[in-house]
Order: sequence, then C-alpha cells, then structure tokens
Amino acid sequence: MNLTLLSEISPDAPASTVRPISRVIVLSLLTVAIFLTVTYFISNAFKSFQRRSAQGLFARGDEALARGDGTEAVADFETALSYAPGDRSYVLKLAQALVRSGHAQQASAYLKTLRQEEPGDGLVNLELARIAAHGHDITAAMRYFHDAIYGAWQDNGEENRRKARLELIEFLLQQRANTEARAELIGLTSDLPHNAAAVAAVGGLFLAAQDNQSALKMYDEALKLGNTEKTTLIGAGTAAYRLGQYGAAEEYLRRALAAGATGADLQDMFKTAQNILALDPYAWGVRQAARAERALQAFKIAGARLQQCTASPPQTAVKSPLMQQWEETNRRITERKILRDPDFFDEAVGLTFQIEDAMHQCPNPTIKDNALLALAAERPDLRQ
Amino acid sequence: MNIASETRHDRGSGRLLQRALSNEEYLFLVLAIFIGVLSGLAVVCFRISIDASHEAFFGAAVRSSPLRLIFIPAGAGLGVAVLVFFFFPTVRGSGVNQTKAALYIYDGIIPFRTAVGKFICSSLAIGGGHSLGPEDPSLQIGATLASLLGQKLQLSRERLRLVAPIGAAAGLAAAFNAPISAVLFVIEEVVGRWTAGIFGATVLAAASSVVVARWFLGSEPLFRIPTVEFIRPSELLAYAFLGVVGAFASVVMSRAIAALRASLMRMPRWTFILQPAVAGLGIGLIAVAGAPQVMGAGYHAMDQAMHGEFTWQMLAILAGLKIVATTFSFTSGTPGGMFAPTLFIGAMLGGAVGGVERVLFPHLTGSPGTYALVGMGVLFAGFLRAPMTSVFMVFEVSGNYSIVLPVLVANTIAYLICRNLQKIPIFDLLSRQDGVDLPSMEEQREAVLLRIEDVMRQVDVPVIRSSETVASAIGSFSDSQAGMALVDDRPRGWTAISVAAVEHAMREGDGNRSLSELIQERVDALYPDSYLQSALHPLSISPLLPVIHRADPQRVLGVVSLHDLVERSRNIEPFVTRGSSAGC
Repeated sequence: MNLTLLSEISPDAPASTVRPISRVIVLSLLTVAIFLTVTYFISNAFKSFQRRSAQGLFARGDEALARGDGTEAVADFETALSYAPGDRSYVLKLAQALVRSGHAQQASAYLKTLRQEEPGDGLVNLELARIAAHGHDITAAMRYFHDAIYGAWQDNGEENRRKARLELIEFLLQQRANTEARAELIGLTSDLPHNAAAVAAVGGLFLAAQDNQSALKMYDEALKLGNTEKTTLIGAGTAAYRLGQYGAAEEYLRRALAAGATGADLQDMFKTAQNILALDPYAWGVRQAARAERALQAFKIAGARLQQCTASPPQTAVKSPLMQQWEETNRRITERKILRDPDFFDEAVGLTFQIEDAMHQCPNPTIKDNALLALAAERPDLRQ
Repeated sequence: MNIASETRHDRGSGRLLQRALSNEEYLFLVLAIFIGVLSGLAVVCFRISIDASHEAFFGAAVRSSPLRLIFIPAGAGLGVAVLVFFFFPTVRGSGVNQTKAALYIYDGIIPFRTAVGKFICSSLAIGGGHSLGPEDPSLQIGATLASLLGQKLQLSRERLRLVAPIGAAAGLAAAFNAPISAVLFVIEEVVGRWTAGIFGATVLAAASSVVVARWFLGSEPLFRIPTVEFIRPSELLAYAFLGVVGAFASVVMSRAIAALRASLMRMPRWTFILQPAVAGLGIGLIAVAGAPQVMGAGYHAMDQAMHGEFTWQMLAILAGLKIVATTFSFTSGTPGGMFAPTLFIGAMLGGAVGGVERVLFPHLTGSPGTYALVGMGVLFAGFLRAPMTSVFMVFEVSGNYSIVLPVLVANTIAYLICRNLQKIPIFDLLSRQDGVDLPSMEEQREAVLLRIEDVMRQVDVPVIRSSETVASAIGSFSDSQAGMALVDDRPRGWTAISVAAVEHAMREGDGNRSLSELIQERVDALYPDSYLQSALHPLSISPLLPVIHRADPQRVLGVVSLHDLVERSRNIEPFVTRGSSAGC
C-alpha cells in the first residue's frame, strides 16, 4: 500500500461550513433513487438468470434421481441450491439425493434444518423417519413417523399420511415391535379406504403382528368386498388356523389351493386342518360312536409316534413310564370300552395328547401327529 | 469594546455556532442512513458482480474442467494485477487498513477511484477463484462512499474522519448480513472507541444497509446453519481443545502471510504484475489436485462442512489448503478480503477437530455443524483478533444462543494464546509492512492508562477556605513553607493562589476582603480514579489542583500540578512493548 498524502486541511479552516439540510437531503435522495433503480434492474436480471439456471439444474437432478444416480443428483441439486439458497424444495431434494447416494448423516443435517423451520412438514419428517429407521433408532423413527402422520402435506394429505403409517408399521414389524405395530394398525384401520385390496393388505399386517383375530376380521371383510385372491384366502386360512378355527381354516385353505396356491407349508397347514377336523374326538356334532372311533385312532397314532421316537434294541430296552402307560392302556382299550366309559375315554384321549406333547421335538412327525399336537394344545386340562 | 457590547456579540455568535453544531449533529444521523442505503446498494451490486464473474468464468457446473480451474484464476490474477498496477494502485490488500488510514491519517478522505477499483478488481479476483472474501472490500467500498458523501457535504474535519468508519460498518453489515457484528468490528478494530454519536450513526448505517441488502438479495444467510446444540458441560473441554488448535492455526497463518508478503514486496516492482497470476496458478493446481473448495470465498463448502458432508480428514486437508491458498492470494497483492477465508478455515478446522474428538470419545454429542460454527468464531478471534465481534458473530449467523459457553471458552482461549504467540495482530503487521504506523486497537485496549492517583502527591500546601480574608491567608502561608495554597470556593469550585498574589493584594489594601472576591477562575476538583486527561484542561487554568474523595468530598487526598504529572509519568511504562513487524 503506497499511501501518499491525499489532502491537507489547514488548521485555520473553519470548524464547519455545512450546507443547508434541505439541499443535502434532496441531493442524497436523488442519488439514492438513481442508484436504487440501477441496482433494481441489475438485480432483477441476475435473479432471473439464476432462477432459470436453478430450474434447469433442478430438473436435471430430478432426472438423475429417477435414474438412481444419487451422486449426479446431489451435484445438480447443490448447484441449484447455490442459485436459489432459500428454496425448501431444493433442499429437500438434495436431502433425498444424499440419502440415495448413501450420505444419510448429511441428509439428516439438512432435513433437521428444514424441520426446525417448519416442524410440522410431513415430507421432511418422513424422510427423517426413514433415516432413523435405517439406523434402527426406533424411538427417533417413531417420533418422526408420527410427526409425518400428523403433519402438514401439500398434496394428497390423507394418502400420504396413510402411506407414512404403513411404512411405520412395516418398520416396527421388522424390528419385532409387535405391540407398537398393533397399536398403529388400529389407527390405520380407522381411516382405511373401503376397498378390498387395502383391507386385505392390512389383514396381512395384522397377521404379521400376531393379531390373528383382527387379521381374520380384515380378511373376511376383504373377501366380502370381492377380494378372492389366493393371498387373501391363504391369509384368512392362516389366521383362522392360528385361532383354532380349523373348520374355517380348512375351508379357506381349500379355496386357496383351488385358486392355484402352492407351497409345502400351505399343503401341510391344509392337511393338518383337515386331520384336526377328522381326528378331534371332542368336535361338536360328532356321534358317540364316531367319537370313540376317533379316540381309538388317535390313541394308535400316538402310540406309533411314541414307538418311533423311543425306538431302541429290545433286549436292552428300559421302557419309559409313558410307554408303559401306553402299553397298559393299550391292553385295555377297545372301541366298545371307550364308548361306554367316559372316564376311560378322557383317560385315553388325555394320554394321547400327553404323548404327542412329549414327543413334539422328535423329528419327522406325520400330519396326523401335528393335528393331534394342535388338539393337545387346546386341551391342556386333559394332559396329565 | 465595552463589557455590554462584548456580551451581546458573544450571545449572537454563540447562538449561530450552536445552531450550526446542532445542524451538523442531526445531519450526521440523517447522513448515516443515506450512507447505509448507498453502501447496501453498492454491496448488492458487488455481490452480483462476483457471482456474474464466477458464472462467466466457470459456468454453472459444480466441477469445472481442469484447464479452467488452473488457467482462470491465473488469468484473473493477471488481469487484476494489470488493473491494480496501472490504474488502481491503492486497492491492494483487504481494505481494512486503508479505512483506518483514512480515519487516522487522511482526515477521512478516500478517493472515489478506490471504490471503483476495489469493486472491479475484487469482483474479478474472487469470481475468478482467488481465495479471498468480499466482506473486506465491501467495508472499503462503504467507507469510500461515505467519505465521498461527507466531502461533498463539506463536513467538519472531526465528522469527516468518523464518516468513513460508519460507511465501513454499513458495507460490512450488508456483505455479511450481520449488522451487530459489523458495528462491533468497526468499533473494536477501526475506531477503537465509541460515543453515543458514533454508536448511533454506525448502527443506523448498518441497519439501513442490511435492510437494502436483504431486500434485493433475500434474507437467506450466506451459509445455512444446521441445528446446533450444546448438551453436556463436560464437552467444554472438547471445545477448549478446539480453541487451542485454532490458536495455533491462526498463528501459522499470520506468520505465513507476514513472511511471504514481506518477501514478495521486496521483489522488483515489475513482478507485482505477475504475482497474482502465479498465486492464481497455485490455487488452480490445488483445485485440480482435488480441492476446488478452496477457490473463492468458499461459502458453499462451509455449508457442506456445517452439514457433515466431509470426513474429518477432508476437513483437515481443506483447512490446511485454504491457509495456503489464502496466503498465496493475499500476499500477492490481489484485492480481496480475509474474513471469508478465516471463517472457512475455522469451519473446516472445527469440523476436523470435532470429527477426531468423536472418534476418540464417541459419547460426545456435538454435531459437526456445532464444531464448525465454534471453529469459525475461534479463527475470527485468533486470527483477526476481534474477540467480542467473534462471539457476537457466531450468535448472529446461527441465531442460536445455546452454544454460548463453547463459543466463549474456545474464542477466549484462542485469543489469549494468539496474543502470547503473535504479539502483533495481522492488520497491524500488514500496515507496518506498508510503512504506515496505524494505531493498534489491541495495544490501545491493553495499554495501562494512568490515573490521577498514579501522579498525585501528598497535600503539602495550605488549604484555605475562600471566605477567609487576605490578611488571614497571609497567616496561613507563614505557617508553611509552601509558595502556593489551595482555595476552597465550593460550591463554585477551587483555585490555587500564590503567596506573591496574596502579598500584592495586601499591599493594595485588600487585606480585609475575602479571597472569593479576588478569584477570577475556578475549576472542579479531581478524583483519584480519573484519567490524566481529565486534569489537562483544569491545569491550564489553575497550576495546582486538589484530589478529593468521591464519597467524602471534604477529604482532600492529594494535590496535582503539571510538574507532578510530567515527573511522575516519566517513571511509569504504560504501553505494551511492540514486537518486530515480521511477527514474534
């Protein structure tokens, strides 16, 4: 800096020679007006250019995002944001692109800034919820999901809120937080659209959350609304099966199989349900003779299971108490005796259930064994 | 002229002078608003021109081609150097010292050519990628406009000196979008003091300029601050460490700039045309090597750092490279400021230190943005040596008071360490390298100011009430060896009277008259805690002054004469020892 003396004021100069205030103000106003006008035009022209650039970059970034190219989208949105720094939609898109390109922490910072400005923004909260969910932070995820569900949405608010709740439920189910998931499902059903697909989907979620009663109710409703898809029938059959409504389960599963559903588990469940209905000695509406026949059949099945599971060389066999008990009862059991002696009937059936329960960890049970085991679970009073 | 006519004339002149003075006082405040508006408009145009230059040079792409990155800063540097060398020789540097020089040396006068040159050259330089900021040039542009307005209005010398800093505050406020920080910086670093008039005018100007700037450019901050929070007091240690690291970075940068600038200034004058081009080339190479973030002011990168988009390693690298790039740009004489680079380095360093600390201590809750924000304040306090401004600046840009403790702790630590390691602040260093000895605001703050109690002596003269007669006063003199006495004529004041004057009055036959009838001028007593300056005017009237107790005015604690003031001051060293201009 080569500073040269630019002026000298004489010490004898008067302290002040001020021009009148009115002239000063007029001149200053004129200067300001001219300067203001020039600045206005320059500023407008440049802003218009920036706006166009930002819009172009935003569109390019959107395309990149749709293509799945998160990195390219981030670059475009960042540049667009530099032209339009206050634009929330740009910041939001940038955050989404950052998430897509694996930079969740950075996205979270942007989103939290947006949330601070508008805490009730549904979309911002949803994005934060997704980030928290990805990080398995249940508390934060639930908070943000709820803020998204009860937040403000620009378009399709109802649908977006429903989708947000669905996402939350799926997240909770993944985290095995079934209790929380069930609570959310109840909230979901309150404003569910009355169409078969939506109802069936919710039924599936109830099923996943182990609320079989609600699941069956949803599936029934879906079926009434005309949704006879095999998935609906399978879901209904499964729910009914879990609830012990084997008759209904058998019916649903039969229809599912008839509709073309396949799968070993499905077949097993169906056959088990069939066998339960066929073997249940306490089934309603069965004649006494048939009951006795069922009891005897079940007893024989349990015996076979017991022998299979406890098989050992006879010469060294030390029979288990259960085996001894079975053999002793087997010596006495006849269809006539079961028919005439209700206590013996209960004793035989109880022993049957006890054997099946005791042997449930033994591998390779038959369908009939599974059926008897299911029946045993419903009659703990009979197992000795 | 008889006494009556003298009195009428005095009253008329007094009214005229009073009217003129009050006219200028009001004028000054109104002028401050116009200065603010004009500075705001100028800064708006300035920022647009920087953006337009950048757009013209680099286009809309985030990442330009390597050839552009290398050659545009070099070319811009060359173009700017030619303009500076041949047309605008006074626009080298940041502009802060030039504004101070206007205040302390040139009676507030800054040629308008300076503003034009600063505007054009800084726009080209910053838009072309040099590692400089627009805030300091905005400060100088505002000061120049204010000076021009003041000159046209033929303000008094005193007012004209003050009008440039007011314009500086307006320019800085508009550039920074931070009126409080701008006012504080100008008061802390340029003017060095504040009165009601200075403060009022500065605030009016800054507020006006910010209103104008926001009207045109929007109220969005230069970089978005994410949610910052400070949860655990124990984390203050982490921020204290940041203060230490920032202090050392500040010292490194100060010494690098001082050393390289001194070397470059010793080179032949014709090399001044090439130096900015070479600096630009260096910056271009850094950009091509993988750090284009060091180019320009760097607001976008600061935004990214605030939002945790860089790893701590990258942040540390960027901090280091920005120090290098800024040193290149500034020492080569390229017009532009150091505010934005300082904030950039602080943000990167803060984020890096925060990142390392979180690796070592995962329980730390401070986000990257919090550390980056505190880091900005640290560098502002350590490098620019504006501690108060640094604290308020952080609050103003973040709008968040929850981090007050980390900011206070870190900034203070940085400032104190830098004061110990680097005695002379950077702006003072630069001015001395230019051969201009501007007053150092920091030295003035730290100077030990003498008070009356430091120079007064015991009461060794008679203290006589003014109601006593001349004859009685003679008696008092005979009781002591003193040649003077203090006369207490309160509530009208005090005076000193010599034995010769009393004897003369006796000879004139005034022995029975009271001393109060003979006193012509009176002064107020001094207090022990008053500064020496308060004694200068009274001592011109009375050769001896009493020093009385504030709570017990009847107690005369001591006396002061001009001789005491000179003799006792000689034995006291009130000023901080100055170091060499190359730093110590």
